[in-house]
Amino acid sequence: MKSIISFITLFAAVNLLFAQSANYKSTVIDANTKEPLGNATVHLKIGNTTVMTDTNGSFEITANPSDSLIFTSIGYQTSIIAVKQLDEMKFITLKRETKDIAAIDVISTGYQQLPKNRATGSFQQVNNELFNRSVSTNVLDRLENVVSGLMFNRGDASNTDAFLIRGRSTITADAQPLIVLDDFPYDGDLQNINPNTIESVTVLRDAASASIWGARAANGVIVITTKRGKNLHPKVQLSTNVTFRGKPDLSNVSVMTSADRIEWEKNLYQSGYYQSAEAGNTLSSRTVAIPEAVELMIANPADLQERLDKLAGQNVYDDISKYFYRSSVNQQHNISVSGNASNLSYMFSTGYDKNLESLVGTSYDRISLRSSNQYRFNERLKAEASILYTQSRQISGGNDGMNIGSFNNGVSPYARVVDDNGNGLPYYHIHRKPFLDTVGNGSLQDWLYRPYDEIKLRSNTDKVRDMLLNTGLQYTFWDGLTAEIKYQYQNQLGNMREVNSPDAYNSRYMINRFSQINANGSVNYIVPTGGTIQSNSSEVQSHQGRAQLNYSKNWALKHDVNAIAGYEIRSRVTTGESYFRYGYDEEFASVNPIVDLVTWYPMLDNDNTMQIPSGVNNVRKYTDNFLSYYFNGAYSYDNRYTISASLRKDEANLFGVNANMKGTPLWSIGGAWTVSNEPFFNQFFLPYLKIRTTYGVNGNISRLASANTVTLRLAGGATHGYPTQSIMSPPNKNLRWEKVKVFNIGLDFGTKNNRISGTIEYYNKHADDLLAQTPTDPTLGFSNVYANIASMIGKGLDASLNSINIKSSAFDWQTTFLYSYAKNEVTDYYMPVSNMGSTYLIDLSSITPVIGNPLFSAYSYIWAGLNPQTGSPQILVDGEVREDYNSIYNTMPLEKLQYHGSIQPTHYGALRNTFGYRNFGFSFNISYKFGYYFRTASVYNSGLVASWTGHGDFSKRWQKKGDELTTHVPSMLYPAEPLRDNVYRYSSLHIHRADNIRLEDFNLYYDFIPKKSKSLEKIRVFMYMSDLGALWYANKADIDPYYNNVPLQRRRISLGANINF
Amino acid sequence: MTMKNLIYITVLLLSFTDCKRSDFLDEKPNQSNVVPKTLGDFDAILDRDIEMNALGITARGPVPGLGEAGSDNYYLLDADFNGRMSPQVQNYYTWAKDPYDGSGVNDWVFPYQVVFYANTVLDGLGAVERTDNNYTEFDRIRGSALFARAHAFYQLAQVFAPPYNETSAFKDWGIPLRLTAEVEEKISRGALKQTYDRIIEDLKTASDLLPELPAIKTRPSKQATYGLLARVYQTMQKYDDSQKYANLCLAINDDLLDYNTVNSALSYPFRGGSQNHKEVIFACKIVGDPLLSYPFRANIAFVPSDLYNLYLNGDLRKKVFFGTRSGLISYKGSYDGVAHSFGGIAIDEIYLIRAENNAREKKLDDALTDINTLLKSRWDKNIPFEPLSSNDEEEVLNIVLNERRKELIFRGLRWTDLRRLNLEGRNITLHRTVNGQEYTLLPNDPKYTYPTPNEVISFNPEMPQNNR
Repeated sequence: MKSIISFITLFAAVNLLFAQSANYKSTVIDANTKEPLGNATVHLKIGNTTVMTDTNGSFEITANPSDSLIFTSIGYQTSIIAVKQLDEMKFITLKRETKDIAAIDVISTGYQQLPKNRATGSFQQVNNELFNRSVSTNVLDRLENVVSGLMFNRGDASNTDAFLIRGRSTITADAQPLIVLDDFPYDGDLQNINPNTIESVTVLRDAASASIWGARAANGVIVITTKRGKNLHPKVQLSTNVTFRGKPDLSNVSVMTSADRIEWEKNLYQSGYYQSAEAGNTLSSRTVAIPEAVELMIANPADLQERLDKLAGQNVYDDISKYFYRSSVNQQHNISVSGNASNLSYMFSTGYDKNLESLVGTSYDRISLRSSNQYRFNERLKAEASILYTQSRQISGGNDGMNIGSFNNGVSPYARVVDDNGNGLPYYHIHRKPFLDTVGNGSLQDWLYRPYDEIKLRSNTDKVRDMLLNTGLQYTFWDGLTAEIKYQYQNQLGNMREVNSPDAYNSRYMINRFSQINANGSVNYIVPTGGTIQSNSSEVQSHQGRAQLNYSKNWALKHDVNAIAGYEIRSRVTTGESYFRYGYDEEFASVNPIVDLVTWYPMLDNDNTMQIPSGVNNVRKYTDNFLSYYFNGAYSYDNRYTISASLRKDEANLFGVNANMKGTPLWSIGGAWTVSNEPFFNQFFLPYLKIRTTYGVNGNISRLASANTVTLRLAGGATHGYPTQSIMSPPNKNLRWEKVKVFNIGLDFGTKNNRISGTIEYYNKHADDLLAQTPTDPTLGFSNVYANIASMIGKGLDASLNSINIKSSAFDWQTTFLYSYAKNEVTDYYMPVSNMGSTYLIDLSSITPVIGNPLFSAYSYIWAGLNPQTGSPQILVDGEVREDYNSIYNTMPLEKLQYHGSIQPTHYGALRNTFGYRNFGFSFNISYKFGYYFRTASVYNSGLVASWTGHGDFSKRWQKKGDELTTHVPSMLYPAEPLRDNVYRYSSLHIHRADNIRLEDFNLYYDFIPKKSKSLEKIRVFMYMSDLGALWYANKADIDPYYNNVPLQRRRISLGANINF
Repeated sequence: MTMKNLIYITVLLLSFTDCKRSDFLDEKPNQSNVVPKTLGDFDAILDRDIEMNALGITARGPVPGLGEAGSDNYYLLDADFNGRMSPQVQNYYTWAKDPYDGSGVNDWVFPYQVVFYANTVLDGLGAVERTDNNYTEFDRIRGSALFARAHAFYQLAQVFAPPYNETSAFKDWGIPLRLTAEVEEKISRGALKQTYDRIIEDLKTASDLLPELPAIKTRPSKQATYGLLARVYQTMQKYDDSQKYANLCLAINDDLLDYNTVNSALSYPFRGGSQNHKEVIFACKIVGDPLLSYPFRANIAFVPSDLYNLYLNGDLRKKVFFGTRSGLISYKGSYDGVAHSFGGIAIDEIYLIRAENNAREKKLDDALTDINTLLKSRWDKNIPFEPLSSNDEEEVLNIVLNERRKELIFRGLRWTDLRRLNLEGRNITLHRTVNGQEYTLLPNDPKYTYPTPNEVISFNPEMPQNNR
């Protein structure tokens, strides 16, 4: 009865209020920046209605003048203003909550915006300032060493994973974190995104934060948000920078000296290795190339020694460094206009990049356009539309750099490839000079290979056009409940063309070798004259749609609910085609399609017959389809306790899998307790303290495996035109999704005025049902198979600490310290693996799971020095010194090998110091990586025989008794024993700690703020230097693990300016 | 406005769910991928001549090269041995006790791949109904798969199992017989008799299913099955049974190629590939192109002059089979017209099988008729051909074996012959000299059987290894 009365009273009151109500409009802005505040809540105290401000900060509400409005926005102090005051105020200003920095942040998960102080999951943010601290063409490069838990592998380790979030938790499925661009997974090439268009980046590390992304989130998620127009007045921002980098230092690659090489070749010659070349009584012995010095020895001119001495004085790397490499110059320019007109906010930007890479003939340019608009129809309905267009072109010439001739014999250290006048010289690495000088008696095309000329004659052009369209509608039904639909369309067109001009060596080579010389000296060309073109086109089309309901409500400022539920569809179709043609001439844009690819033709340079190579010709189509349903909700009480839960089901068009296996449910739960908000907590020393924990399951899929036998259909066989089907993968009836269970616990804290603040998190990951390609008994008919056979655990720690050391009106000093520990270990591996130790040695970056060890581990034979009598390598097995290389290499089991550790860093992080003095800013970043190993190279006997190059350790080889006291390099024999080489190469001698500390970069800027100009707001000029080299590394071999026997990259210097109008 | 927008939203939301869920999720990830289900699929699998017949650039196939590598058709120069042979291949050449150095043994892998392809088809056919409309095709495909598997088993048994000896075959170890495409199938070795019983049973079944002649010679046929049965029984020294199938085989077609029509000036006279060679019944190469560099490859190996001297003047094979390189004799007679050896079945071989069987059964005239027919087709028409004749049983058998030696060089058959002929006491000892060192392979040496590859043993530790 009572309630009926109160209901009637209320009803009357409402009616009464409405009777006097009027419409009010105003705009909410930030008190400091004067920028409009979107998504702020405007609550009518008595009227009990709520509206939200739009992106322009404006709102419209029907209210009784006697009522008052409560303005709340995440990260801002609550403000209460009487309705009648509204008319007098131009703007409603909200002040930032200064209590702590952590609390004001809003996290973007790509599905929703979450206040950080109510988050239970593990998020790391990179704001615009930090993102733009470094200069790069690529978005990802700017995240290196600034996010804890996100690691970029460099040096040899980069052959394993380019970058990882919290270590690797899969064996063969994709280990790369999911990249989300403006709310949708981005399937294009990340190279297409201009960093200037990026506002901020959020890295999602644990199950609760990432599980909303479902099946692809097991590796963590990087959420990239582009800039939008938010300022009231139109703003123009111009940024420009140029980056210089010196020529790479080739001397960092150890090579044999010219004199040593000639000495060694003399030895081979005298041992009879070139006997058949000298006799020259078969075609192949007359044609197949031999080193220049040996050619001389065979010719044996009177001044032989003199000429050999001259060769010994030459160094091919001088020519290569001088003519094949250059300093690189990267330019980046960008202009953007953004603003806010009554109901429309807009942003338009255009950028241009041009990079001249250090390899002569290699360049990259990119044009990117972006337009992003939000339109508000009324207070309930909003729409947005944006477009991102990128066009890029990567060109590389026929420049093999240091690897000249690597497909054949490599480069002789004493060769000359460019003469003193800068003209390209021929290099004989495929055919012998006497053969080329005489073959065809001048009736053939020039058959000489001049590496320097090839730079211009051969080209590889990779063009990409990428268009990304986003549209969305958001509708507010009533208080706190909104519905939104979003749709994204992407179309990426790529074309890669490999062109050999008519004068390129490859063109002439094919024409010549198949030429038929008639008795009268005329030539029949079997291969059409002209160049060749190999074209590979591809197109990616993806459609992604999402329908989502959002509910966000706060009761009595104590209860806070935030929930979303939605449905998502994703379809990505990749098509492609490749063709190859002879007779290509760019000048006339012509090809010659008439080629006989069937007949076996004799060749001029060997005894065999061969079909004319047909190049790559194919048509491809791949489809990835996903359907997903998801829910994510959180409830907070009194800003103290938060619980969260998420549930998602993903289904994919996994091949050959029964429908019920196509999907997998993924979920997470979490809780957070803001201890500092408890009444009992003394806030004086620690004004902010929060504990949070989550647990959940993420998933991963691999397209490599199939439950059924999968065959690939082809149009014909090698000898007939009937259709053929080759078996790609054997059947696996037990195929499942990979599952990764992730537990995370974290602590966030901040001292008074945030003098010291930070986050420490511990996590562990249990990855089960991991798919792995495993060697199988070859008797089965295939040498390996994919199956859900393995489990791994990963655990680690991520910490970031921020300290404001000095803060005064003129001078600031802040230090940020990042530390991560990540370790993985294989726990189950059911399929029998070869127990042969050598399997684990050949390639350290190949996946060789061993229970109890990390996925990528370094093993070796235990080195026992050189045999003092013979200079042969010896190793230790069970305390016994052995030299029986065949049985060591072929039968010694894994247990007898020495295990060193992971080849990926296990401890890593960075230390960044930022200084501000008036308008100057200065910062530098020091990174460190510890707890990992790498393998250095040395001279290999069999390589010395087969290849014309060789490692500089040759000069340290054992030559006589006693040498074993000063060297570890074995004696060099002819004939070589490959297994003796292998035992030396894979011994513990060459495994080193890769730990290093490096000065990554520094940034210096000056802000020029014109006081008098009305239009010019700020000019920032800056200098940025990066790749500043190692400060320390652990190994005694004096090799920087980032540049292990590869050319050393010089430091980069960038100069630039940002101008804001 | 608001209402209208609401309708828009509803329509758009519904449009997401409009497409058919199951179709969407059944879309093929790779358009060219097929789960084989139809007869067309199975036919296409068996038509993979690259895997099934070792033809093409990345050739695989059922015929190991190990046998030819260990045989006496060729020799190497020291320089080629040292400079062009991998250590494992060097070991094959010198009959080393432990020949494997950790490199893959493709001689095992590729034939078992043929077995897997065949088993995939045989397992898959279980789910296809044989009807009045499809039975011809159905039977041909099943017969082809059975032939392919039996052929691979036979070839594996020639190098990885001991020679067939009726008195010990029940206790000698055979090769692992893999009879399904299941990944979980247990791999083990049974008795050698079991291996041969399975080969013969499958071939007999296949011979009832296959057409007399194939559409293309990379496919098996009734004639190929008879030819292979004749060879298998010969290997088992069951010359009666061998004779039955040799006759059946030649009854279908016994045309020989007149070598007067072959252009012996070519670097490889049999241009066009074995699939187009007149005498070829089943086209197939020995594995090794180009994944392995075998020492017997025609552009590396040389032919011993005493072997070359067996050919008489007027014998066109002297010019068609052989050329000279560096003044030494080299082989160029592969029916595939390349440096790589033909390893399939051809009519000339069946003639020789029949002749040998007749000689052993003391039908001397019949034996000599076949030999003379074959020889005449190899004889220069400008030089009078004198037919061979003899009344002596042993001499006729020797004539036949001598002609067999001359006709079937580099065909992957010599190894099996050496094993078989030494079993009956013909005492053939092989010699090689490498870098001044002498190597010998004695008659009935256990090294006539290669070890099972180490990786196979490591997966099946209980599997018995061959004694060398």
